[in-house]
Amino acid sequence: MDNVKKLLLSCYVIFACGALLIWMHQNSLATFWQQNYHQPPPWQALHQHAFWQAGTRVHSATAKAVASFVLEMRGQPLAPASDPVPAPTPTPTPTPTIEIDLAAGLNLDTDKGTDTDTDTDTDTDTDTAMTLEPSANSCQCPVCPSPEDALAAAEPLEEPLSAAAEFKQQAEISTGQRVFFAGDSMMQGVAPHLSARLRREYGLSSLDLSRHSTGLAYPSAFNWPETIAQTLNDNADIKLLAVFLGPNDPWNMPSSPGGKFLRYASPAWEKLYRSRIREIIHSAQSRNVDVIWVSPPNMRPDNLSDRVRYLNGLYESEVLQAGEVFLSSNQVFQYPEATYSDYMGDGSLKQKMRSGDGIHFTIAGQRTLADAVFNLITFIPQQQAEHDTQPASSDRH
Amino acid sequence: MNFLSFEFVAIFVTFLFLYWLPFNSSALRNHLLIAASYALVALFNLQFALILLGYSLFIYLLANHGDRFLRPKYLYLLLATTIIGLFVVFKYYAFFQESIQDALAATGLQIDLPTLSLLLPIGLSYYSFHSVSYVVSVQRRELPKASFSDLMLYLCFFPSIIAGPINRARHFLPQIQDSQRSLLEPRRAIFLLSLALLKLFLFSAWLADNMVDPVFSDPSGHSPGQNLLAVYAYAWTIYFNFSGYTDLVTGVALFLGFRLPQNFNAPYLAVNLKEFWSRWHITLSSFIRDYVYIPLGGGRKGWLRTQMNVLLAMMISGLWHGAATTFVIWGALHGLGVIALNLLHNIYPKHNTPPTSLSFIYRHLSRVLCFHFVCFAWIFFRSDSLDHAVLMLQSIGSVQLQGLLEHYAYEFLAVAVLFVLYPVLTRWTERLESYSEQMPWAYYPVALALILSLAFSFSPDGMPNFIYASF
Repeated sequence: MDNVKKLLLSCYVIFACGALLIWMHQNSLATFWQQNYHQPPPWQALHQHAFWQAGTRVHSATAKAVASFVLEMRGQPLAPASDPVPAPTPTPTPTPTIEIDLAAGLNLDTDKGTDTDTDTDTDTDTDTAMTLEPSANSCQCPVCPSPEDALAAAEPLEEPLSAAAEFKQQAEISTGQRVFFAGDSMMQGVAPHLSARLRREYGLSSLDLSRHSTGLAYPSAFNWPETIAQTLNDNADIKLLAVFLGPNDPWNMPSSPGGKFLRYASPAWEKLYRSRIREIIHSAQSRNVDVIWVSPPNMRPDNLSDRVRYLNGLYESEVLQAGEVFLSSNQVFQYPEATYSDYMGDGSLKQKMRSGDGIHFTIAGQRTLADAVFNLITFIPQQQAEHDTQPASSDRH
Repeated sequence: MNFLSFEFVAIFVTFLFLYWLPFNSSALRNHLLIAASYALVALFNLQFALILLGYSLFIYLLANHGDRFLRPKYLYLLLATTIIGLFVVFKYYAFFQESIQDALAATGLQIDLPTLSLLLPIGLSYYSFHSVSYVVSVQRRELPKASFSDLMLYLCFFPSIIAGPINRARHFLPQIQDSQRSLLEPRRAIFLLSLALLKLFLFSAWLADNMVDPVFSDPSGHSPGQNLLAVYAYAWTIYFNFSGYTDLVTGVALFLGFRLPQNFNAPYLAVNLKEFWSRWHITLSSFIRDYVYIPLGGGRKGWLRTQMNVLLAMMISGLWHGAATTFVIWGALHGLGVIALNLLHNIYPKHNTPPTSLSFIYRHLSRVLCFHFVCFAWIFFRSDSLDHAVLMLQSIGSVQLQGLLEHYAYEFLAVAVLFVLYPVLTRWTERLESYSEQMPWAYYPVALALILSLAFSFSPDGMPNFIYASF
């Protein structure tokens, strides 16, 4: 068989197998595509055809069959077929419409808020390999706001922080209460150190649900506001929520599952993103849970670093306005302005803090961040906590 | 660019058409491969491509023209110094700088050594080893001197530059220079790609997400049973991950008309450490044997010196994996294990094998023992720090059988079943691989789609990492 024939036959197998896989896993692959390429998948147009939708049904039926099998094997009762899906625990609805003039004090650079660069972006999925992303400008979605809109988003949208609520300097926790870690791969590195120190020094236990490649931009891949609300609902002993995410987010994102894409940093994008930050904070506050929100530090890839600094402005304004604790990891690493360094920015410690990809942290960096978060936690022993309960609860909002 | 991405598939298929269709010249194909390999490296970082180019030029001048000015001994010395220098600058500097600072601080001497912020060039650990093979083969006249472009391709060949396998010049350069290149065993290549997806997306990623990573990152936050399970699970995680990666690049290379060397041969079938190293990361262990252990004197300078050489070679192998004390300890443990085995063979010479009736039990007990020693060493290999490794060992030390049976009976049963069935699974996989070349083309995609669909249904979210790409 000559090379051409072998190649054509091989391509037939690869493409036919690929097409079948996309047909059967179209939803999860669409989510993956959105997360990685920040635009709708190329097969979205096929969704209107019955033969294409059948793929979802085949996959769904298989998944249900497998789930039933697993439940049966575990000896757990199967839900009757007619039962509706259990209603999700009611989560506190974020402010339904967030008026632009209600949003608060941002420190935005106009050139950060725009999406006009043509550089490739750096993916954060792996520690070892940098994956090249298409430019955010490549989004062909007809409804994406124009660059002018994006520029408008860079204008300060909110009132100055001085008008914001009084914010906490420390989060409080007492004996028998738990800390909940939410975030992406950065938190996956930091949480174990913090968790170990809390256990060692205060005897506190924690719950770490951090997952790599997650954020607030693609809830169809992983929905942090919903997960946090559900987790807080199910675990009344959680008293402190620590959030650390961001680098997976600063790209175009869908306005809703399967919805139109919003251009990164456009007013609509910012409004939606802020609403998700608020939803998380509101979930916590409504359950009397303190929040420590850690902002990602500057990163080696300039484009990603600029974008993350814009996100940091959103986190900071929302967290401080809600009166919760905000920790800037740029301050922890002593980075002046937009600079990046593998080491402490002020040269105070000759120990490498950042890993090879310029995004994540070395063990020393993880410990440094964990210590910084630890220092923001005030431990109140049981007796004193009981004594303080009355006045403390009246301070909550 | 990740080998598992949509864009890689699209670009690679397009590249294959360009590679195989318009002409029938191996030289032109080689130039295409060089361009593609450098483009891949430059996508990570342009400087990495320039370093690779500069290094290739250095090796060309050293191997092809250096013998006019230097005796082989000095030529090897220059090569070794260059490689060690590159490794120290790019890979080990921070480790040495911090270790020296800490050691001095322990004696009350506070000295700040200068810091260095350099990225480890992608593939340096692999193409530097390729270059050793080329220089030595040329000096030993096992191989004629290659042209610069052939040498460039040997050093930059993209399927094996990121995480191996380590190609020997004697076997790989003739393939580059072969004028009759053809697309090799396409159905087997597709089978290997599919097997790689199965190993990487399902087995390795699932074990890492559910049983390994959470425990290794916080050993004291998990029960002794979970710690023990994490160690067993990691043994399989790293095996599926690295052998899956090897299957992937072997399949890719077959599409390009190249055969990569075998890197794995069912390593957990080994009944002792020596056999393990002839089955695990074969290209690295044979490289260390030929270019580190034997030049150190090998087994030619007495029993004691042989053992020292074994220990040193294994520690160097550990340090090659990364700049951390844990890797050095991992290497040292394997070295000490081999020394213990040598000692045992000294006391009980090999011809004193047990009677046939006992050989079955003896063999399987040896396999269990070897697997557990390898697992013990993996604790250091995987742990983020020595503290974590010690915490994990302390936790495992407090394991109680009753607790294990009460809480983790199914998990340990699964570990045991996997270990017992491993020889059978290995045989089945080998048979399937052989059979794949007879698979009818028409049904092949359907069979693959069904298997992969099932795998993706159970696999965790996200793209799996290649563990060995970071070494």
